[in-house]
Amino acid sequence: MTNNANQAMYVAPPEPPASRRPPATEVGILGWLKHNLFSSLSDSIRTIVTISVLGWFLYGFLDWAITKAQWEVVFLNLRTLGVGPEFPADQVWRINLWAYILIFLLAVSVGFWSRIRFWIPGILLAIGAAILIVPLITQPVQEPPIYYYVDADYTIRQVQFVAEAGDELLFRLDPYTESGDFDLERFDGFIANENEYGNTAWDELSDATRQVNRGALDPALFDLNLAIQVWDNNGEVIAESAYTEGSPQTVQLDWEVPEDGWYVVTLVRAEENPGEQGIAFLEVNNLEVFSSTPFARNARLEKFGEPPEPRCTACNIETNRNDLRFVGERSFMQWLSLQVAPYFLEIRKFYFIALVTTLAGFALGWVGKHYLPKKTMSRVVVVLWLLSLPVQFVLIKSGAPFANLDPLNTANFGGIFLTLILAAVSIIVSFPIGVALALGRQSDLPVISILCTGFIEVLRGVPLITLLFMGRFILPFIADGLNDVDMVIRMAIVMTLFTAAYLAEVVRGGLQIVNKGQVEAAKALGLNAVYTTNLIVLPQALRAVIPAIMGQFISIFKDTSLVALVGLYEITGAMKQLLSQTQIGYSALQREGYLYIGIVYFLFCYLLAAASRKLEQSGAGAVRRDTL
Amino acid sequence: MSVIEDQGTNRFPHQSPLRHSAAHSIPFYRDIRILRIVVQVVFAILFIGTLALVWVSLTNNLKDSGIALDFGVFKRRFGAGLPEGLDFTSEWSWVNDVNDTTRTVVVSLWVVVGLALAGNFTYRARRQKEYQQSLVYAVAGIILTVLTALALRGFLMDIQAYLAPTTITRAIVTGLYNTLKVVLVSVVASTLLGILVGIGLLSKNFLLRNSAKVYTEIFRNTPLLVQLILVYQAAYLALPDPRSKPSITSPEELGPFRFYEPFYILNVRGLYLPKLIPTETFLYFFVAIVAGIIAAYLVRRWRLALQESTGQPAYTWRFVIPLFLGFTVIGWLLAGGYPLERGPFSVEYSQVGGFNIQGGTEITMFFIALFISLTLYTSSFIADIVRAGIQSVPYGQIEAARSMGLRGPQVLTMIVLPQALRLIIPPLGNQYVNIGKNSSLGVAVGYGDMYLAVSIANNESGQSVPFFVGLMLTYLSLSLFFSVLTNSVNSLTRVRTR
Repeated sequence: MTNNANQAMYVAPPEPPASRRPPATEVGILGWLKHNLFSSLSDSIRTIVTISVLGWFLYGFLDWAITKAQWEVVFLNLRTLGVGPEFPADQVWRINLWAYILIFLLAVSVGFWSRIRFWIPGILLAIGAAILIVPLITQPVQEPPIYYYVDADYTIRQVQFVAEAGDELLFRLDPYTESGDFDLERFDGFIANENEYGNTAWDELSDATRQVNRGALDPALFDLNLAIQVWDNNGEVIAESAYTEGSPQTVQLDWEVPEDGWYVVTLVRAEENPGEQGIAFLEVNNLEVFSSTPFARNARLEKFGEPPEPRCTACNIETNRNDLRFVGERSFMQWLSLQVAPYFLEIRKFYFIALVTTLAGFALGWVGKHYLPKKTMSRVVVVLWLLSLPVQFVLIKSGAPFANLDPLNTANFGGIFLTLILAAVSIIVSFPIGVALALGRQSDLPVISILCTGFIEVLRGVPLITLLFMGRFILPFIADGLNDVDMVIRMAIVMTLFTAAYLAEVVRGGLQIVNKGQVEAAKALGLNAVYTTNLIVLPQALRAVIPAIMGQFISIFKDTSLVALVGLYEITGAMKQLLSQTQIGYSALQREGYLYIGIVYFLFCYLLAAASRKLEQSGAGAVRRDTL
Repeated sequence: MSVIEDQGTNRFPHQSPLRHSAAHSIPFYRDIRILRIVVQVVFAILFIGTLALVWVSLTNNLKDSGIALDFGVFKRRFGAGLPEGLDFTSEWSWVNDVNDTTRTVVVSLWVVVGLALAGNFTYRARRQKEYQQSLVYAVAGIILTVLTALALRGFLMDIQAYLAPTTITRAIVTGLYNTLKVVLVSVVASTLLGILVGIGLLSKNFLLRNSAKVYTEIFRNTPLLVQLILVYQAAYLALPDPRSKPSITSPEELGPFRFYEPFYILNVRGLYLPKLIPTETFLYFFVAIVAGIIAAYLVRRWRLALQESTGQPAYTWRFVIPLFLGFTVIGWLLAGGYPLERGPFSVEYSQVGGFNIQGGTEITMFFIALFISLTLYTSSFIADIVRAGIQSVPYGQIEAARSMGLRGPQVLTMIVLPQALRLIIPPLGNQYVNIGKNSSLGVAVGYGDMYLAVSIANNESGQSVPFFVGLMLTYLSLSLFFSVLTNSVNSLTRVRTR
């Protein structure tokens, strides 16, 4: 028996004397470090090795991603990656609207059925803030100069560009006269090794390098006589610098653009005393040479008209900036300004509408959870989802004559949109088939059991790509009607059958954990086989396999990438198609492109996996629960 | 009589004691025994009917579009070449000389041996009263034997009769060889890496544990196809190309791109390593190594028996490794391996010559990319399987083992692993089957596997149906083979209960 009076009067124990306090190495940050990273000699070795490996990898990766990588293939082509290269541009708003509806409904469901952690809206808002702030703070950052390689044998290219009135451009001709070991490090930024089609600049440069290193060429002996010229669209010279006059002096041309339009910058060699040897670089500042996407190109053409014709037939106008561009070591601010800010500017409209939609959805779900009866609100959410289905169908496929919406052609679908559609269609349509197959496999009628088992095992035993092969080459011949069906639908059929086989195995796992006593009890109550299955077995079995079905969805989501191999433009296929456009120099940007695709897949799959884990912890996988 | 009069009010007539009498038997359309048969017959007819319909329509439509179905297409010539595999012009040219009799004998022997093996497995499983297992062995054995015999026959087919460099069957078998090559190497590598990462996932070290976690999350949540293309393209863009810069022959000329070494050449085409060619004295070395293995085995048995009888620790490795190394060294010296150049092998280095690289062993970049991505992807799944398996062993077992005086590695090998393996092996087998199936993605970077062979042949002849059937049967038997293998290993590790 404790004394009540004593309980009320709590006196904190006195601070222990220093001699009795735990040593500093056992508590606080030091203690954590000791227990988690350096608990023993072998543990310390493990820590150091891990830090070294991680540091080496992260340093290399970030160094490349920030100072060298060209992410323009991503941020200039977001529409292609979103809906595919062949999707009609004036219909993209329908897909956007569809995405907003889905985001809103998901947010309402999440807000109602689960607890919203404070960091979820926090992260969304932080990204929104970054999207606003980064372009603002990086506005004054200049684009790094572009270098063009020049030597006596090299056809001097004419570089076309667009500029607006008032732009101040700076061209410098910089003779390279350092003798000794020719410093290739400086030219890392040239797209060094675009193997298949060759890179003229790099080849010239490596030739020169070899000559310098062999002693055949001494860069110090510079005697070229060069000057910089700017032409307007008609080929008239409108600005010209001084000539180098055979001496390795730097010549520069400051030029303010008189009016909007196309211009050409080039080097000219003097008629008399043109010189015989030497290496120089033309440095172009404050100028975007040419933006490589068809969209950007068309925008240019609309605004500035047709580009100039080359003035001589032998020299071609240079429009491919990746060929000669030297970016060099980009600084972090330049990375933000040139790679991150354009991406943010591209996505900001979509992102902010989506952000508002998400927050509104969360708020609605939260209000419903706290101020409405649970049953009413769950009905509201379900009805909202059901009501949205025809709207979704109208938006993404059928169109509506009364609203002047044309039906969309599935053959034009692409991008992440097609990825989502393929994954969702195959998991939803395959669900009844999978359940039927699972029940059939469990059946005690041997013919049905063998047929179902055969179907499941055959589809599970072969790689998906084999079935896609069938969908591409054989399916059109199976029935006359299938001949006219486009590839997207054929692949959806194949993916559905494939998913059904896997889903059947998942459901079979659920059927096996339903207690036999349940079936016997149902029979004892007089339920026939159909009722027993529908009312007793399936509800328990399906509830038990919800997490496994989520896992299946993730796996199908990843597997949709395979349809890129039969020529569909889902996100991987769209990227593959973009990167195959060698004439705009994308073929050297494979790493950036596929890395971005990988990140997109990772975000989707990781979030789904996290949601699945959450669902599992909340007891969705339990066989029996008292409340919904 | 009163019982019969009660019939009208009885709500459960089938429970009546008189339900078997002819006058009151239930009608046939409610007799479950008849219904069962009817349903099955209907299903069978529906299934066969659908198949027949599809078949008829398929053949007709194909005929209409000018491609008559021809299952003899496998004997036609294969026009294009595969980027790697068996070279029928030099190393494998002997198969061109195989005559009819030899081929028949070899194929028949193969069938006999295969069926005998299958029978043996089936018989042993039946004797252990594992009837389902025995059925699987029987079916799998017959299918695998027949398919492999067909493939072998096509492989040894006399191609002179067709006046072609090689047949489609040979191309497919070459593709199968390439598939198996990359699968086997990836299975080993991904298992090792997966175990390492799996143990890392359970580490007490914060950094190591979370690195392992990030590793598994990254590689299991991105598609293998994207990983594969990324690995291939990253290598392609980073490495020098002998075609565009043919004159690069020395490290000095490469500047910072110093991938050329006398020992190996690494460029966009692949990795070129020195090749070991056995000399005449190789036999001595080989015999010494075999003798070393046998001696090591005998010594190990002796040590274990000693431990059994006296209780002294066996320390098998302390005996086995020096013994084996000793035999190897003696074999090397016997083969004339001093000085080193006169050993049992002569070494052929790769050399850059003009646009090409001659000599040595070539490992193509296609293979390297597929191998790396398969290994990374699968190891992330295997790591999780290993983690779950080890976690399933109750911690008390480990504590008990420690209190018995077992040391760290002993606890792992004698207490934890035997129990964990039971849970690890079945999903591990699934992962191996997945590697087999996923290897078909190599076509995305041009790896010369079975799928590439088939799709090239399909482009040449348009006979998609036979190729599809062939492809499916081959992959099915691969999957079957791996599951049989897993089942057998699994039955070894299973705890036997009565």
